[in-house]
Amino acid sequence: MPPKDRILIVEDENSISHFMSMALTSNDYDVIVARTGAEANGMITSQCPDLILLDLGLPDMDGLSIIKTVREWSQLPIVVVSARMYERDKVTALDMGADDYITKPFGPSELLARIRAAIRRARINGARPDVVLMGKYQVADLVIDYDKHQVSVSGVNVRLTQNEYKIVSLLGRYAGKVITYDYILKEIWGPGSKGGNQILRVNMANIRRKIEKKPAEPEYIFTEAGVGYRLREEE
Amino acid sequence: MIRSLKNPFRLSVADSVIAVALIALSALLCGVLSFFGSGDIHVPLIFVLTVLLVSRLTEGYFYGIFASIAAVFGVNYAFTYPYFAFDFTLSGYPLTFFTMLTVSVITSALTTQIKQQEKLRAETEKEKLRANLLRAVSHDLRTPLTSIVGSSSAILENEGNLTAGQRRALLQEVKDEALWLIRMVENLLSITRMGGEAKIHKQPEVLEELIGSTVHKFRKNYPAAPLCVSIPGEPVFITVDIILIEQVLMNLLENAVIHGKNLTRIELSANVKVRNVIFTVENDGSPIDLLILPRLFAGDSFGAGKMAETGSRRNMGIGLSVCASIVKAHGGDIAAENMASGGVSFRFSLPLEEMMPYAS
Repeated sequence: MPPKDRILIVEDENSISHFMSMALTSNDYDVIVARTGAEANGMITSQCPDLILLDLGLPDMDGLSIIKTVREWSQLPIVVVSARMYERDKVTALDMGADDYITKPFGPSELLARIRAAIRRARINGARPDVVLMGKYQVADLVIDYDKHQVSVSGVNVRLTQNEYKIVSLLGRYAGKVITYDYILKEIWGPGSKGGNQILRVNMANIRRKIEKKPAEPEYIFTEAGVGYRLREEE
Repeated sequence: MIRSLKNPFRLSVADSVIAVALIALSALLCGVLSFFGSGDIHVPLIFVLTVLLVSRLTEGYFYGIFASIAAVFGVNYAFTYPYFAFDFTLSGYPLTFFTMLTVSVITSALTTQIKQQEKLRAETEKEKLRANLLRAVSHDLRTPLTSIVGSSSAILENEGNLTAGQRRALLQEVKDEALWLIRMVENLLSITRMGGEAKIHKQPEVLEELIGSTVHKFRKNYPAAPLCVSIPGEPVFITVDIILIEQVLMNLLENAVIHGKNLTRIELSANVKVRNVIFTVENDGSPIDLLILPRLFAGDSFGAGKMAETGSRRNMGIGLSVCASIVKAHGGDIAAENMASGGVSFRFSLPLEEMMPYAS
C-alpha cells in the first residue's frame, strides 16, 4: 500500500477545518491542521505535507505571505480557500504561485477533486520541470499536439493563429488550473503589453469559435469570472 | 440626528459666481433702463429681487448679506443722485438698507430650512429602508435556522430510533436550509459590495464568458434543470461588474427552479438591441401572482408583510430586489411579466459599450 498523501489544513475556524479533515481522513489522506500562520510555517518545514489547503484569512498574518514564503524554496502544491467576493485575493494568490482555489461554500466532493488534481499536476510537472512541451495533451475530443504546433477537435485540424495557438498550449501546459488574465498576457504579449486584457479576450473569443460547439456553453475552455481561464482536465 | 449645515457662512466658488453674476446682471439692467431715461424708481425693486434670488440660490447666509450690502452701496453709488458718488445723507437710506438686509436674512433662513428638511426626509427614507430590510432578513433567517437546529437536534437526540431514511431526510433538510442561507448571504454581500467605499468594479467583459461562467455554475448546482441558452453569434463586449451580473443571472435562474411550478423549460438568452444588451430568463411554469407582480422588485413583497403568512414560504423578495439594485447601478432596467403564451419572463437591459477599436 502506498504511503498516504499528507494534507496540511491552514484554517482558524474549527468547524470548517473539522469538516475538511473528516472528509479528507475518510478518503485516505493523512491530515494535519494549523490554526495560525506561525503554526503553519512550522508544520510546512517539519511535517513535509504533500499539499497545503490554505485559508487566506488567518488571525496572525496574511495568508498570502505563506504562499510567498513557501514559493521561495518549494513547488509544494497550495490550494487556496476563498470566499466568492474576494476575486482580487484569488488573482493575487494565483499570481504569487498558488496552484488553485476553491470558493466557499464547497462540498467534500469538490474539495477532494481539487486536491486530487493539484497533487497529480504537481507530480507530473515535478517529473519534468520546465522542459519544452512535447507530445500531446488530450481531453475529450480536443488534442493539442505540441510537436506539430497543432490543435484538433474530433480529428479535424483547427486553424489557429500563432497567438491563439500559444494561448491554447499555455492553458494545456497547466490544464485544470486557472490561469489569470495577467499571466497569459505576460506570457504571450510580453511583460510590457499595454491596453488591458481586451486583446486576450478577443483572441479567446476567436479560439472559442474554432474549438467549441456553443461559445456560451464551452466544453473545453472555461471562464472563471474576474480571474482567468481554465482548460478542462481529464477527469 | 441630522447634521445642521456645516457653516452658515460657508463660501464656495459656485455660489460666489451666482452672487456676482446676479448682482452684475441687475446692475446692467438698471444701467440699461436708466439709459433709456425711465427714471430710478425701479432700481431699489430690482435690487431687492436680486437679493432675494441670491439668498434663495446660494447656501447659508453669507451671499445674501453680501448681496444686500453690495446692492445698498451699488444703488447709492451708481443709481441715485449724485450719480457715481456715495451720499449717505439721503432720506430713507437706512430703511432701504434695512429692507434688503431683512429680505436676505429671511430668505436665507427659509432656504436653509428647506434644505435641512429635504435632507431629513431623505435620511428618514433611508433609515426606513434599512429597518425594513433588517426586519425582513431577520424574519427570513429565523425560519431556516429553526429548521436546521430542529433537524439536527432530532438526529442527535433520537440516534437509536431513526431509520436510515429518516436520518437522511433530516440531513437533507439541514443541507437545503443551509444552502438557502448561503444564497441569502451572497445577496446581502452583493448589496454591501455596491454600497460604501468599494463601489462596483466595472470592466469590459465578453458576453459569452459572462453567460458561460454563470451557466457552468448553475449546471453544477442544478444538473437536472432544463436550461437552454442562446446568445448572439458575434463576440459582444459589455462593461460590467461580472461578479454582480452573475449574481443577477443566478438569482433569476434559481428563482425559476425554486418557484416555477410545473416547468419544463428555462430559457436564458441575451440579445443586442440598439445600444443595449437585453438579458431574458423565461420559463414555462405557472404565472406569478398578480398581487405580487407589481411589487416584485421593491424588496417589500416578502418577510414582514402579509406574504409570509400566506404560506408562500420564503420567497424571492431579497434576491429580486438585489437584482434590481445591481441592474440599476449599471444604468439598466429590469422587469417581470407573465407571458401571454403562458409562463414567466424576467428581462433586464444593460447599456452596451462602444465596440472596441481593436480588430484581430
